[in-house]
Amino acid sequence: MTVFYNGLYHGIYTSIVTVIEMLTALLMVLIGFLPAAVAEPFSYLFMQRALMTSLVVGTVCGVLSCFVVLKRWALLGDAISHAVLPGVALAYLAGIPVIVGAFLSGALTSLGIGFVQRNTSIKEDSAMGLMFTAAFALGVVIISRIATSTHLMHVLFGNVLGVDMPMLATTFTAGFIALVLVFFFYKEFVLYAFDAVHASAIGLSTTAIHYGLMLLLTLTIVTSLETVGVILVVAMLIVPGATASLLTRHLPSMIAISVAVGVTSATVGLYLSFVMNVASGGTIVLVGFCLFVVAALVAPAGPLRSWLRRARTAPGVPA
Amino acid sequence: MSTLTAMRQICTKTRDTSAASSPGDPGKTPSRRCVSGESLPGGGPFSISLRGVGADYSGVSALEGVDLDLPLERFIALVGPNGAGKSTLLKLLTGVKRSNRGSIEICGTTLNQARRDNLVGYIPQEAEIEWDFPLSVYDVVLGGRYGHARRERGIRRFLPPRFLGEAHHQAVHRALEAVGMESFARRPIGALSGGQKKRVFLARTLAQNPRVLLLDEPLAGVDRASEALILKVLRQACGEGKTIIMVTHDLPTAREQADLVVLINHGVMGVGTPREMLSNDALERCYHRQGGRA
Repeated sequence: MTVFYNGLYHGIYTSIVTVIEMLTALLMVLIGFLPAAVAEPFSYLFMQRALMTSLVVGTVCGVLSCFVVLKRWALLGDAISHAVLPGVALAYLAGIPVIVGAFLSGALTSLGIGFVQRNTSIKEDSAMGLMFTAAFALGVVIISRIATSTHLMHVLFGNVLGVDMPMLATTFTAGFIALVLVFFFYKEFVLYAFDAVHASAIGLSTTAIHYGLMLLLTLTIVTSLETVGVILVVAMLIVPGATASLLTRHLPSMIAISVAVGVTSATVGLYLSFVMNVASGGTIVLVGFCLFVVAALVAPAGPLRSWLRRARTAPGVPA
Repeated sequence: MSTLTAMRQICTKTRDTSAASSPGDPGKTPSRRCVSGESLPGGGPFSISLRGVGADYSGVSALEGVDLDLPLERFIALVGPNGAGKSTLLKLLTGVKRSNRGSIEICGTTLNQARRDNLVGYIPQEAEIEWDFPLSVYDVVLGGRYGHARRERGIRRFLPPRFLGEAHHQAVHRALEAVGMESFARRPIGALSGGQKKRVFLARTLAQNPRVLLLDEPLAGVDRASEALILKVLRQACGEGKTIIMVTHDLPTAREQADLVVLINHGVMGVGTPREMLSNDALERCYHRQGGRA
């Protein structure tokens, strides 16, 4: 039986790797059209894997980010991202997939937040702060016991240049599952975020949707662990959605813009971090922030447009 | 208005009033499934039927010991002071707020079954909605069809809204037409006036086509023209066999429009005709009840 499962696992893994390699080859053909200076770093195998990881993370975070921003879950995203740390450490120790451990500790912490809220007089934001820092502290303690500080740094701040094939396969699978779930439960998630009472009135279980969305958030956070790390992943969950929300009031367009922002910041950040030899996670987040600033300036309600309008209507200025 | 006498007979099972109790316990009425659109035999199940229902917010009781049977196909107003539990009652009826005691039946079926069968429609208070949400008027009204879409077979029920069948889109067009908002279909929901927003949510409920409409202050912050239109549409819906349950602070409108008024203050304080329930006496008793207990 074990042999069967091992064989099945191996078969699935091999097919995922094949898909990834085909996509990478396709991507390399496209990159071949770019100027040599831009394309050159991507001739390294580790840069190709890093690029693929960045693309997956940028896409998945871009989609989820819209829901995080619309549902006002920024703090919850921060809480879950910190809370996965002990799970990552213990999974590493027990030799089970990191995603399982991360999800379990993320889910346990969110249940803990609910428990503290219901059974004490502490408010929601304090309950979150309390539980996620405790989980995070536990993670730091465990990691300091079992691994070097370099390992800890990689989990905290990401190490996209060091992504190997099994890690990429995990990221790819988790990201794919997250996207498929959003596609098939789009109606439910949107309705829940917009008007939960109506969602309940038509027979949807708001509790199930709430935890489903939380599960997706955890899945997304786990996919981003290697790229930007535990601390900065929340930026990838807020920046793309916030940027997109400035530019459109149409949800599908918002998701598309958000994905574009996520992918652009991940890939440009990766390239810049290689060229300038600086930390990849930080660079990715900074590129995202720059995109946000530009969007804030040119947005319909932003200062640039209103300045232009004033200039156009001001007397004495030739049209 | 002669129907009111008969109505009072089936809907006066309240704790705090001394109104005559109904002949034959309505609680013993055999449960009958009623599916959206199907007509019910006369004297059939109640639109809503609550037994010993209560609700708390973090340990503080908002509603206690609610026993209430309301007839079908009537325009019913829920009246009471702020914080009396009117909105909580609507939240209980939509299932978003869970009651840990008592039982709730809608059209003779359990609350959960009623929700799945699209028997319950809800129009929220303005403050409950995030108006910046990037949805168009059309998207919002299409949301009324999601419950029906979920009951379809095959992969289609899982696809995003634009892949919904033609029947759903036609229902949305009809609903928008009924409230005169067709030309606003592509506008962002946040760009509308208060009255227009209410009309859009009314359209969503019309598109959903439930048996029982729950409205939380549908006339608050609404201009005269929209108010007249909303009341006209509600009246019409009522004539077509729907039950309207409306929370309102607008006593003149309740007096004018409602067939039945339910006074609420942490429990049911009285059920009866507008003339009885909106008398100074009855209102005084309801509004000056202290705390949660009689």
